[in-house]
Amino acid sequence: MKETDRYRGVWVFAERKDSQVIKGSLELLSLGRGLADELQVELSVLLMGDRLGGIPEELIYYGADVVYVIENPILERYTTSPYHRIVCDLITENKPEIVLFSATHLGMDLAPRAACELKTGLSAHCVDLKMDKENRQLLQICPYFDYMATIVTDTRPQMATVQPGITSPPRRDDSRQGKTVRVEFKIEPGDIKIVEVEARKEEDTEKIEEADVIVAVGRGLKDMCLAEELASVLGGVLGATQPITDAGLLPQSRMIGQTGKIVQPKLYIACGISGAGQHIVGMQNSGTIVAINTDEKAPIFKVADYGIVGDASKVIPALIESLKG
Amino acid sequence: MNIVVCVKQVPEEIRINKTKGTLIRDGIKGVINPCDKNAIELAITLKEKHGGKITLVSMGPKDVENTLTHGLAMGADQAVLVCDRVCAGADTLATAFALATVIKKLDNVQLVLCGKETADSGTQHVGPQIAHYLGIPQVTYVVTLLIEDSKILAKRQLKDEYETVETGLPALVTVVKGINEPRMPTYLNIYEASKKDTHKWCAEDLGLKEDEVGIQGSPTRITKVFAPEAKRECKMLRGSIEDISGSLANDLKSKGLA
Ligand SMILES: Cc1cc2nc3c(=O)[nH]c(=O)nc-3n(C[C@H](O)[C@H](O)[C@H](O)COP(=O)(O)OP(=O)(O)OC[C@H]3O[C@@H](n4cnc5c(N)ncnc54)[C@H](O)[C@@H]3O)c2cc1C
Ligand SMILES: Cc1cc2nc3c(=O)[nH]c(=O)nc-3n(C[C@H](O)[C@H](O)[C@H](O)COP(=O)(O)OP(=O)(O)OC[C@H]3O[C@@H](n4cnc5c(N)ncnc54)[C@H](O)[C@@H]3O)c2cc1C
Repeated sequence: MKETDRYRGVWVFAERKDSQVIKGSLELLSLGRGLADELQVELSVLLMGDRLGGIPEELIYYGADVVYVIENPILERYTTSPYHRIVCDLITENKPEIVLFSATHLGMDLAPRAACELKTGLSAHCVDLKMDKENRQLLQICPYFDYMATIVTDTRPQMATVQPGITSPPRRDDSRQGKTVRVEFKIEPGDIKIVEVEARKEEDTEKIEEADVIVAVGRGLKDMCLAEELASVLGGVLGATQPITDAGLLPQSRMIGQTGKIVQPKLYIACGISGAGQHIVGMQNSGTIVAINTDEKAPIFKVADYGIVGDASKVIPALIESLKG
Repeated sequence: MNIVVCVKQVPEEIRINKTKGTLIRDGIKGVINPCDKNAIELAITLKEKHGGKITLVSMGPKDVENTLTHGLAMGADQAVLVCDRVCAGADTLATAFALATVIKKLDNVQLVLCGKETADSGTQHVGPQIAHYLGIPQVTYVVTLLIEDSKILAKRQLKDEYETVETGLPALVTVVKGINEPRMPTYLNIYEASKKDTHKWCAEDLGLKEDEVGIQGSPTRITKVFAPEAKRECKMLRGSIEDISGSLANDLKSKGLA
């Protein structure tokens, strides 16, 4: 028997915010369910916290076959070491072949260290997962500059963090049956003490996540005023790529993508944006997408409904005129 | 109190070879990864207050030595560069292992600072993985850091909250880009930096075996690089600029979007 054959099953780490499982984790249940069905194995969810109430049943309704539940007051709020200990011990004991985390602050704190202890590979910010069924190898698809890369892991488990927002949560089915396994653990509080938690308020009064129309600016548009004018004609707000917010041309709160925000306006106009994978993940679910770019091969056109090959600083004024007329 | 700052060289500008999908490095200047510069600046302000020595640690090709000079000119005391062909092609696990091995060899390191992520691949893995190899706590996404009697108090920036945590030293901290204004070295600083030591260590110097580093020590592999598939049918608007903008405006209006 090959060493990798000792590993079976798909696991998802369920992240909570207070008493709610976050949307990103439910999305993992969609992906995980598909992979588990393809491999004909169980889909298990790892859930930790204190007084978790009906959450384990909910996770079964969303597609889990097994929910491992670890309850302890120490686990109420995430700190690295107790979570790390439990994740590593349960994986070592149960040997799943795939373990998925959301690419959130918590996931990106927990998964790398766990992969390190387990001496296995971890892929970051996956935007798609596919299966090479014959080899039971997970094809982990990540942004690779303007391209995509497929990453595979030779060791087991195969671990990945998945970008939130790349798929939808599964349909909730309250007739689904599953198993809840309560695991007893001797849990140490660990070496990190939380002293204070405060809300992070943004100075920006405009919430781009809620806007109906976004005019997004990339490095191909030098004139911010033009974009501002187009946005105002459409009753929209300005968004941007990372180089624009890094240069201080617009506030950080306007950055869209992997590091920035996930938006879903009815209309998204991309002006001088190349369409790197890290930007696309933040806007691809918008209603209608218009792209203006001088390079007709720019990847942004692959997610657009309307494409204009041209100089944004000339196209925008003409568009403003036509919209006003 | 000795501080290590892990510094990666990244290309000043990200440009892509349009046929191969790979990063163009030739002819593009290598610079210190942006948030690593913030980490160096933080280290200098901590040293000004608490004393000690700052060591920059990097893994990469030979020319990283020039890039490290900038960090030395900012105020770091010495640099170590792991430079060996067998280390090339490392994934994050192999990178973290090599860097942790260097840090273990240094004297009395109390604090390891890393950036949150790099500007070229940006996995965010390396900090937590070094911390694991060193067996010390990690505090990620830090925006402010205070040291008091061998403890640190660090404020972490999360999605919609700040979390302040306390932990003992030694510890590893990853910092967010832009938390401070990295100082610009003067000509005199740069001259003085040329007299500081940059130690170049190969895998053998560190006792690293070939199967622990580089491609061989990496559990992940990239098997394919490809252009993303079209997700939508893109209607290319052609003609004069007036025709294009006129027809787009009409479509948007008829869809109730304008
Ligand atoms: C597009 C792309 C995607 C990749 N995806 C993956 C993946 O999913 N999984 C994987 O295992 N590998 C991946 N790799 C390989 C990975 O980039 C390398 O292992 C790299 O050496 C370290 O990772 P990073 O740049 O992502 O570092 P990060 O983890 O983002 O870096 C965080 C901090 O660690 C320190 N640091 C990182 N590298 C060095 C260094 N060489 N010297 C000194 N300090 C350093 C710096 O302080 C830095 O700010 C990918 C590479 C590319 C080009
Ligand atoms: C870890 C990591 C996280 C990241 N997170 C994000 C993120 O959250 N959000 C984000 O946006 N990026 C992010 N990035 C950066 C991302 O990879 C790209 O570098 C970035 O999105 C590119 O921005 P851009 O399209 O404005 O610039 P460029 O890629 O430089 O594109 C400019 C485009 O403008 C076009 N152009 C030039 N002149 C004109 C003109 N006159 N008229 C019209 N078009 C013109 C060019 O053809 C080109 O396509 C991240 C990168 C990493 C490594």
